[in-house]
Amino acid sequence: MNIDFKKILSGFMAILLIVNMFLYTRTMVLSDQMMKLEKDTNKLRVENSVLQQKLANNNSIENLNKLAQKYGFTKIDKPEYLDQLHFAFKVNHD
Amino acid sequence: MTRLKFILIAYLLLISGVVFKLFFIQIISADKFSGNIYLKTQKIQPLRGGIFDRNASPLAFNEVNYLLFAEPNKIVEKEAVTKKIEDIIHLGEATIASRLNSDRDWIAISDKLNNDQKKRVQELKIYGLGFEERQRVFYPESSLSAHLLGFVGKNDLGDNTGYFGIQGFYEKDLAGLPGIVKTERDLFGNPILIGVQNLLKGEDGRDLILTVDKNVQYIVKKNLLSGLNRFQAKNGCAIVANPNTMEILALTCLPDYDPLNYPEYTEDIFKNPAVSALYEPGSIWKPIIMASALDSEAIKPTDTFNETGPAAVGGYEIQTWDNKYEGEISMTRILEKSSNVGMVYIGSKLGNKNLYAYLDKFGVGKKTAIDLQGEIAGILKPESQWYPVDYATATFGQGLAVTPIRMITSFAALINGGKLMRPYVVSKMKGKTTQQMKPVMVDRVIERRTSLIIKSMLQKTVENAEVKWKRPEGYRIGGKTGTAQIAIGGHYDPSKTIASFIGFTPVNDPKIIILVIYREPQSSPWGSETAAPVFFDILNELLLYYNILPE
Repeated sequence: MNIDFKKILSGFMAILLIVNMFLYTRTMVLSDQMMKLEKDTNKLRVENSVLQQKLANNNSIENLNKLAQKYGFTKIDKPEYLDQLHFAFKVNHD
Repeated sequence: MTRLKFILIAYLLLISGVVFKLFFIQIISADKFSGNIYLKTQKIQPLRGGIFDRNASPLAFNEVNYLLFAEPNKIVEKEAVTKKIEDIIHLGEATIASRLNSDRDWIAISDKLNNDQKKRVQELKIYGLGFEERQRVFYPESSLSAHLLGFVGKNDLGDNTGYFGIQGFYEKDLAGLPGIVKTERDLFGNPILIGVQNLLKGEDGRDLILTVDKNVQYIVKKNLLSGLNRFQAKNGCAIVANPNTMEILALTCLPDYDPLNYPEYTEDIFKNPAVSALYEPGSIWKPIIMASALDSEAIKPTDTFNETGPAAVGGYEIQTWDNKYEGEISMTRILEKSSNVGMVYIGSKLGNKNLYAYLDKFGVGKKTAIDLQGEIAGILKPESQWYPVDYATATFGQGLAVTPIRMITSFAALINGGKLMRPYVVSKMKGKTTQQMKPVMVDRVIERRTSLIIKSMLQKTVENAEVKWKRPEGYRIGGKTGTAQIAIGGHYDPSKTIASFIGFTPVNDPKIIILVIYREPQSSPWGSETAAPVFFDILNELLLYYNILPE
């Protein structure tokens, strides 16, 4: 039986080339996806930080004071306390 | 066949060449080629831990901001670029123009851009501008707790480092540990999938949950500031704590600073006077000596003292503050009228050795070990250096020095059953593991029964005070005023005082203790007319806030 080394080598080289091309393309795609994920993660981290800051600013005493004033919740000088509520108290002004 | 052999030989030669080259690079010239140009090593900066109040409201946490930099050589039409940037970052056209016209290859324009500003600058698509992401600590309540929190500055290496207050004390916990990642990347910066991927994990900083309540902090600061302006005092401090555990609910000293813009202030303002400044406590120290005498059974609560005139001690004459004398008075009355002469009598009954021992027991010369950076110990001279007059003046809080935190800590022991507690501001550390802080008893300084007696005495001291304060009706409040003259050049200056008031409520089971101190108030030198009204302003608001029922 004659072994056709030429054909075997050509076939082997062709398979090697195809596998190589497939792996290269796959690697490129995955690498690109990894890069994109890194960017997305970073973007989300920044957005999260901005939201956290906004939330803190909204809940800050300074902002709540502003809102209280805006909606007429300012404190009056001489509050009247209710006697019947056992947890309220009268201020002794003497 | 000959041609095939030729190809095989050529192929083998090629492979041999490659193998030889690899052998040359990796073995023979290993030193020269040891660096991998594709291997990128990156330090992963850990996220700094945040600081939250007891209700989980943020007081300090990381925010992302950006450094805008320019490469002036690459920028054309600098005038137009200056105007465009100025519209967004508002730094000043002259400042931006001077930076863009610099001869340097790289120059920072501003390091305080937020995400929105960064996006707007990016949209301009100006060649020669770039950004670097930065992290800085953001304080949503701005200067509300400046002295308590401290600030984050830069160390010698340019890294963020906490200074003063909590951020100084807990720097290692807040900072975390940096990690290192080694990845092989191609020329475009994309990771090489089958390349090296080494990760040495770091650890983010731990979050701190404080014992402090930001609402209480706000109430205290607002009233302290109002008093500071009203009395034209040089500075002021107020501390609110739970006397049973000594967890600090609020701590504020004025004037203070904005921790975000700390470089704009002088260094001396960063020190927290509540833990770093000493003062002679004066009359608010008297209940501690009274309790010591009662505890050692040197006196009984039913004893009386004949207050006939000034007391002579070691060649000095000691008078009452108003130079008035009432004859036979009770022990409680000594506190009510804050009689220095009466206290000298108490001291003489207690005895010098016992007096010194109790001062030491109450921790006068020691730190409280509070978890804040910069605490100093008080001053208690060695006993060998004491003259007879020193024992006499110590009974009314002169000749010894304490910090405000020591004052409130020692006083709390009088009303909590006699336990000297370690004050603390951090209740929990959250990270990989959670650590819960617990109250720590340092020593038992007086017996429980003594505590009950002194509480009752302090209640009467408030009720029978000569100055009538805005006391909330239905509540039993104990307290004591103090007016200490300031020693200047070896003498006390009567025009310069430290006015203070310390008080607590409810008397039966104290829930809050408040100390208010003003240095050099101008409107009145007396604690009863300055610190005490502010104490009651704070207390009135806190009773409502905590919904503490009348007794």
